[in-house]
Amino acid sequence: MTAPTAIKIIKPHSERSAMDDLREILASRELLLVLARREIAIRYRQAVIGFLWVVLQPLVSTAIFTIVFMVFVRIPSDGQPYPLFAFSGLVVWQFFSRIVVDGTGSLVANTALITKVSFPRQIIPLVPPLAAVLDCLIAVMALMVIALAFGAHVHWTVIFVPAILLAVTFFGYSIVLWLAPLNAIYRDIGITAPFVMQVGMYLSPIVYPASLVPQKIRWLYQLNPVAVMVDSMRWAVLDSPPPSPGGLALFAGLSIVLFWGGGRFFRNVEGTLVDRI
Amino acid sequence: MTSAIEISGVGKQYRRGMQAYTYHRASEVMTNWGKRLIGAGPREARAARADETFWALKDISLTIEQGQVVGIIGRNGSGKSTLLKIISQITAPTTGELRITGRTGTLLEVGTGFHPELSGRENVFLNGAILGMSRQEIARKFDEIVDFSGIEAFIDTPVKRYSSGMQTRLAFSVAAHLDPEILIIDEVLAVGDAEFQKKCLGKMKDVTGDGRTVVFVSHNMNTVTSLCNECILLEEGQMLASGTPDVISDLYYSSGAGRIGSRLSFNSDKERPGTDIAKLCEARLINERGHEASNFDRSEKVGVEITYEVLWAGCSLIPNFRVLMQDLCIFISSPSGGIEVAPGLYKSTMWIPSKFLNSGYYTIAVALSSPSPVVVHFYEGEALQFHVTEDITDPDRNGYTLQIPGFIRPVLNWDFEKA
Repeated sequence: MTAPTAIKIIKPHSERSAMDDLREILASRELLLVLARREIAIRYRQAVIGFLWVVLQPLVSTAIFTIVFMVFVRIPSDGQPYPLFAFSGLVVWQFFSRIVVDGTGSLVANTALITKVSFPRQIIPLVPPLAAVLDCLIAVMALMVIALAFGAHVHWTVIFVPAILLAVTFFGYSIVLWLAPLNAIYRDIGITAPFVMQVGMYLSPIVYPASLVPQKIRWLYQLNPVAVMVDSMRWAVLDSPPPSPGGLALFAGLSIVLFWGGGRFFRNVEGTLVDRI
Repeated sequence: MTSAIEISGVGKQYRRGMQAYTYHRASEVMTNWGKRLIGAGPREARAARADETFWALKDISLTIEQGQVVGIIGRNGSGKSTLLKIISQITAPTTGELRITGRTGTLLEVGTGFHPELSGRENVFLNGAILGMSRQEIARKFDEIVDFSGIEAFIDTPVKRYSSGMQTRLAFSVAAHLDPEILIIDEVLAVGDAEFQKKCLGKMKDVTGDGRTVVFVSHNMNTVTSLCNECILLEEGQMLASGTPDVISDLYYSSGAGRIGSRLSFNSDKERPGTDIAKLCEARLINERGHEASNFDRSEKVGVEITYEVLWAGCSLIPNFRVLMQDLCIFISSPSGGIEVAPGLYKSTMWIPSKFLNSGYYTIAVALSSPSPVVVHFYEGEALQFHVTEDITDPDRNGYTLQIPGFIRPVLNWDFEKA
């Protein structure tokens, strides 16, 4: 009995605002961290090489794409060594993809929790980004080591990496605010998500450069939010050209709109989510 | 005294057949979708399909004062768990409003969020955080928690290597050290071995003794009576009565909520429980004259008759009965030696002797099983219910007119001599 008593009023429909949401997330940060730590702890437990998998996973993907695109198809990689080019794209992509795919399934995966305990539900989709960011940062470090090995020098802009990851998290979380409750009601969403993400990957300049896209539609291609994320990462680590201003603006705008609407939607359904999950 | 929980006009509506909803009405889903996204319409959409909805709770209004220990009691499906979920903010009410003053802690099950891969230590911190304890608070109470659970030696072992009893003990220990102003509990006491249960009940009494508000849901009247000072009886989603546990207990077991059934029968063959070897046809309560009855005087014998169909002959069958009072099994009875008979309809009857049961409300469970290999052909937990009443002028009572405690009250022989 430590905290001062607060009066809480429960009504059929939530009357919280986006600010209340953020305040609640902040207030339950301890729980958020504990849940994230659980995710991290169980991910590589009872695996012989444990945390090595963090680096190994993007490395293996990179190796596969390197073999496919350098040996069999032979495509340009915008002046960067192809493995470096692909790895830098994959690091961001895998981070984003995990946020969206795990986030979409997060409410369903935590059914046992949300049907038994009351806490701000909006922290649940925040657990996958928190759990994934550690993996991502390790992968970025591996990327820098590889860059140095290839004789490229790591640019000072690398200090922007955390900011980029934060932006990716915000964008991904905004999408998940929609998809996670929808998936709790219609499981079709969660089943579709990995396929959509796969298509998304090939629609974005991750394993091939944007220069392969016909000039006529390239402006449209570069508005792609994923392209913006990937270009930003390459800019920060490899000093390649930054994303287009139009793309950046669209990315920012889209993030804010999705976040605002997603927050509203989430608050709207969370009260009865337990009954429909 | 200020009120801790004020509930006014709270109702909860549920939809029947969730699966049918997603499949049958794909088109409707699409049209309602847009509306729902912007927040308009879920209620309208629901009202349009009123035939497919039902009220799990209807118009509940009550006030729980600070420091009160309130028991919510009712049969399965009476809405008590729904009410608890609304109070603990797990699900939102459909109508009405709640006003809660103070930090709440919810215990709807023990070990919520326990992860089998993590060690006992890690799970204590995880579970504690999920229940709303701060890291500092858990760290401070850690030794006490581990001590209470009695599994110090295994605290760094992954929980998946624990026996289920050990898991429960650890989980309950965390829960028992939860320290909110308002504690909301759902029959979590129905866990663990008898000794641990006793320990938990003791701990609960400590908790309820120090001025904390406790809301406790159970269908075990005994636990409610021993812990609570105020009681609420729910029946079919409505509040039937509130008052002291004694008053509510009587109401629960004597009239209203306590179902009386002198016969269990089935409308069609399909509904009859059983296996390919034997199926239950009917169970009845009969009196000495062979008439179906549900009210017995203590001076009467109570006959439990069970009719079953044997479909396959090569199996030894043992009919058995359980007599329960307030969810506690008082005794089990089965004939000595199995029955090995040709297929056909059979009837087994057991007679509970007169002057054996105390006056009160009893439930009978009927079952048929085979000893080797062990097969339970059917088990009907709440098959029959009956009352035993008594004449308070009965000479057995030696002039005592108040309720005599106990489940059974056999007349036993006393030796009397000059010492």
